Amino acid sequence: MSRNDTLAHALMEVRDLQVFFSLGGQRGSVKAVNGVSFDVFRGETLGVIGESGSGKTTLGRALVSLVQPTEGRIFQDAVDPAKLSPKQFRNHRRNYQIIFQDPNAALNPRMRIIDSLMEPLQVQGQKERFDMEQIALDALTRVGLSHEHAHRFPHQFSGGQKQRIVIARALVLRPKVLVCDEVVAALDVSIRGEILNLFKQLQREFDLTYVFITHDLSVVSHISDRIAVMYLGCLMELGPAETVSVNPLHPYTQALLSANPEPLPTHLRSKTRIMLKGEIPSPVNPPSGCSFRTRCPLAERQCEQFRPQWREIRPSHWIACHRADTNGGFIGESVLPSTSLQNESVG
Amino acid sequence: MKQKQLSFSSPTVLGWLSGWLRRDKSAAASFFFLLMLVTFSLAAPYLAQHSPTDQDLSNMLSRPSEIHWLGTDDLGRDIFSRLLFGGRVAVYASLLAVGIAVVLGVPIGIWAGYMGGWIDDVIGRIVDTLLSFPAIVLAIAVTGALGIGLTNGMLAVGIVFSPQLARLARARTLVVRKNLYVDASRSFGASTLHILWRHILPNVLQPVIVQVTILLAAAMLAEASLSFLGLGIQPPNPSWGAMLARAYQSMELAPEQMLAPGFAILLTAMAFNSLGEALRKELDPTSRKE
Amino acid sequence: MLISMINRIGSAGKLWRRMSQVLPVLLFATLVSFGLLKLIPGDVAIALAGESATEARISEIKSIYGLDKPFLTQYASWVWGAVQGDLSKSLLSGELVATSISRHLPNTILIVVLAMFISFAIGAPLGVWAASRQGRFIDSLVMSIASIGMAIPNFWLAMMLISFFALDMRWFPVTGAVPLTKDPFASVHHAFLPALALAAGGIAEISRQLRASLIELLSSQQVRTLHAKGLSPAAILWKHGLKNVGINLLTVLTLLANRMLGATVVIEAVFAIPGMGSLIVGAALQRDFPVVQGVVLVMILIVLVINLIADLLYGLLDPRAK
Repeated sequence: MSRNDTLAHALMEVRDLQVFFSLGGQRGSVKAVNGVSFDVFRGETLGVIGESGSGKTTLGRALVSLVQPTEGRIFQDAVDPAKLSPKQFRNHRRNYQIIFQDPNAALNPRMRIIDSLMEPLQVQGQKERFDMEQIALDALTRVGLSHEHAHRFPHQFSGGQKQRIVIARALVLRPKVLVCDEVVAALDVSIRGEILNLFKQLQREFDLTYVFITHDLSVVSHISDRIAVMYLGCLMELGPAETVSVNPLHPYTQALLSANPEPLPTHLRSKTRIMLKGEIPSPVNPPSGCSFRTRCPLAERQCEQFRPQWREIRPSHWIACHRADTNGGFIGESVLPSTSLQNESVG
Repeated sequence: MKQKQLSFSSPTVLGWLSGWLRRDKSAAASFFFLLMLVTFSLAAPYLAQHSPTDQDLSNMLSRPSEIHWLGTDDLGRDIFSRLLFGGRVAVYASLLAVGIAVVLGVPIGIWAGYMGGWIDDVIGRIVDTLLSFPAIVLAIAVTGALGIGLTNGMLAVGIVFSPQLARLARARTLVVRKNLYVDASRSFGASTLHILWRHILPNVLQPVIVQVTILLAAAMLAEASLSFLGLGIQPPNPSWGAMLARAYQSMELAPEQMLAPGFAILLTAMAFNSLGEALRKELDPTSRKE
Repeated sequence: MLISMINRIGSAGKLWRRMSQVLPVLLFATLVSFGLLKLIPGDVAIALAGESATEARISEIKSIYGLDKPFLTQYASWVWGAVQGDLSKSLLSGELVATSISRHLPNTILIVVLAMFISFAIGAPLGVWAASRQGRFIDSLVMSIASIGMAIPNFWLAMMLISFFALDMRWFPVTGAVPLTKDPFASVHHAFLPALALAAGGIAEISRQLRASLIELLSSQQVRTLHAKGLSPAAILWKHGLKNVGINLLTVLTLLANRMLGATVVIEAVFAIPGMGSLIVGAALQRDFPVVQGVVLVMILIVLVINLIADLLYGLLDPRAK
């Protein structure tokens, strides 16, 4: 593992994580996360992108211990939360918080905002109501709302405001890591920009590390330092944002990009679209070998037989593909229909 | 040195109540009727002119008069007093039975709904079985085992009613626990108890309260039935059901004896039912204004 | 048509599966009936022997009912006997419980069936009528009658019916029952007032439920377009409404059947009818416990059968249902 910072360990280390949900009886299980390994470094924003069904939401929940790994481990600041006592665990998990997609459902409609904001503190053992109120109100102002909002109920606010409140609530515990699961997907396009800027600002103010989960390539490239691409429970590619969003090495990422060229300046956009054939398979029965092979235009024999190794193809750039090479081309016979994409790329 | 806290009083229960009653006439009528009932029951010892158990065999089955406002029964006892004290029994019995049902049924229902798994399956099966069974018969059987008497009878009724509340609580819990804010609580480190207390219970309470008003009516009817049969309250203590039993004895001679206790039961049951219906409409989340 | 109906109920295999689901419930039911014994405070034999019991009587009870053996043994032997039709003997009369029950059960069944019939015959038309005149006077009237019907203590209603129709008008006998097989007309004649008293709640529930279902049906978009096309309400009901309305109705009917089985207990006391109700009440008052247990068990069985039939009917109405 390459490390380019002074810490001896990454803030979060995921090793061979598998999360399966049993369907009961003979029906098998949903392999939501099917063997994933990566690090999250302190202070960065790691974007995780994938279609619905890719397992990214489950991954996010696993990162904050809302769901237990079936196999593999997650190390939070070199600590395996599964090994902690309940009391230690409660104390430990305050550093790893999550913000969900739907702000309407994330707030208890019967509780006033101020009470929702104070709840994390109460749960963590804070007793002094006055102190809790102060922290809660402070968080509220930091996300752009005012004190007078504190005594209202959730239904009195707009979607964007509710999301701000949810963010404030997550900040109350001063976490180290904030997992953001599709946090702007439910919001009006017009206010997404504001919220994303708020996230950037808060990251500076609170020294946060983000894991930013989304399906929207334009969102993720706007905000991320590194981008990870997920498909059917497996990581396909992980690398610096500029590279992955402009010049991806994995056929899946390339297909995503061709379908959503907005992140790229016009002169870099490919003129041809890479069409993926078929539909995303069911996570109960993922394809053998490489999970992407059923839709990959470059799939070959080996893709069916062997699962591609998760390898560091370039410094800090990881990929799971038998055929990708460091120059952006592909080893083997058949060629990606739109080779022009590679030729136009910027180094 | 603490500053004054930035809080104001939440809308009080009283405020909500007066608003609701002003809007819904039938709810107001039922509410005040029941309020009257409870007041009179509590004040019975002061309101009654005579003791409900004093017999006056020279004055049996008499018509209403100045001394006996509603006349006397077949043992010369004052009907009005018996009615008042019977009201006491009705209130006490319903509250006892429903209280037991709530304390027994709601926690089990919530627990089954939240924990899920095989516990839920087993409890669910049991509850569904008990639910289809006619309550009275089971209450009689339990009374037969425990021994006759008002408290035992109401204990039986309470036990028999608890599956209904358990099932209701469970169904609500299943819905509520899927909410994202429950997950959010967990991510802060909330214990199961905290989540049950803070998030699940308040959301479960509403339909439970509606059901409780309806069960109060049913419990009262059950007490009347059991006392009528001789399994509940024991003579000479008054209860509306027992009064009806005596009226039954004198049905040929004085059929009007059955009117007072019968109407008392009818009106009270109607009041409870109508209150329950109005409450349900009022608390229905789809019609919330605020 | 018959063939399609049978197909809808499902193959024999499905029926078998349904019945096997019932088995654990049945087991639990027997446990409940027998387990009531456990509720008896103190020494069971002494409690059952009564106040003026002799030592001999107490030990007699002990041996008949195997009360000195462990609970599970007692339970097992009781269930074994029950399966063979032996529900032990009455503590008082010594008569076989099974015999008592077979004597009393038909009277109860007659009243309940008659009551269900009356409830439907009166309740259904009322409900339809109220739905068709929604919001108007008839509707309010029917609904008010319904709320009275739901709240009225049925034994009070029974007393009033006796007082007026039996004692004053002499149209009906006051008390007693006649087995259906002996004299059908007299049988029904005796059972009519009790059934009527029972039916009050049923009329109320059925009319309310039917009215609500119909109103919902009539307001749905589908129906309105059909109506606009000129289809008569009756035709609409028959073709499109039957399923949903039928399901709701079935739910209410099942509920009523179960509830009436219980409510009949008190009615039987008022009319002095020797039915299951009076059997269990008498037994409870005298602590004749084997009779109590036997009655409870038989009632549970009846309820289970009713639910099973209801399930089958649901399957007929809506093949998509579980």
